[in-house]
Amino acid sequence: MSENPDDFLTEEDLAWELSYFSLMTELKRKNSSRYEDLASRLSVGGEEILELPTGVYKISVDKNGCGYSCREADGKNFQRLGWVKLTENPAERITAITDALAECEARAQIDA
Amino acid sequence: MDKFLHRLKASISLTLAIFISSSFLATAAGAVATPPKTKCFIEVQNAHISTSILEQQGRLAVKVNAKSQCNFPQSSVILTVKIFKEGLGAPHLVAQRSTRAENPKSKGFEVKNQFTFAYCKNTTKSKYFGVASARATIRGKSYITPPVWSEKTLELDCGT
Repeated sequence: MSENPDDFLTEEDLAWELSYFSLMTELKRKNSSRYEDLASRLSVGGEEILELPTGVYKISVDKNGCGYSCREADGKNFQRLGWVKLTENPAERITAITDALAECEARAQIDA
Repeated sequence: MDKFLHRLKASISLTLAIFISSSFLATAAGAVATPPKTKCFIEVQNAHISTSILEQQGRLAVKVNAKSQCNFPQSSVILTVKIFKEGLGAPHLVAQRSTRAENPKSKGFEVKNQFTFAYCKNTTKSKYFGVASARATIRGKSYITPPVWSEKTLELDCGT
């Protein structure tokens, strides 16, 4: 069992990680207004389909959390890619959904 | 104590060998030969504060990495990592991420999930552990690896 994260990830993995987390930051900055509008709408619960250049993604929000999925090649099903717990605090919910939107789009862009 | 033993047992047994193929190949002479066993295991890191996220985003986050390794190439690997937080009552899920089955990186002898994290809201000390499981196709068959726990539950300065 690796105690040190550095033992677990190669130089290449670490480089990938840095570009991925940096891309999330960049997307959040670039799309802040769109993400916040969408997050406010979704905050009470619901789903939104994101048609991105690399595929179709779905953001789902309910009382407990926010998840995102991508449409599989068969065109019918969605594979769940991520989920985060949401609190009941409205501002915290919007922040967390905004983060999830940036993450979903980063994964789509970086093909993760 | 029971929970500890359960985790320890799961870690030991699942780390050794998970998949054992029960199929047999009939040879031309009619004899039955056993193909090499498919051996896979999942390794899950302990929860830690991510330096990459802190460096790139200036935010504290708890992160758990995992990898699925096999002695045969895997494909369509969905390696799911869950982060649980301990507190009053039962541990509760704070975040989970899965590798995308159709991603080119989700195949080969080793597949990693290095993007499972939860942002910290504050620096309140909290205890976290990770659990990983996988689904993959190996030699044309679908396999499921049962959940594997991280070795330790660690207290981090990260309230979620």
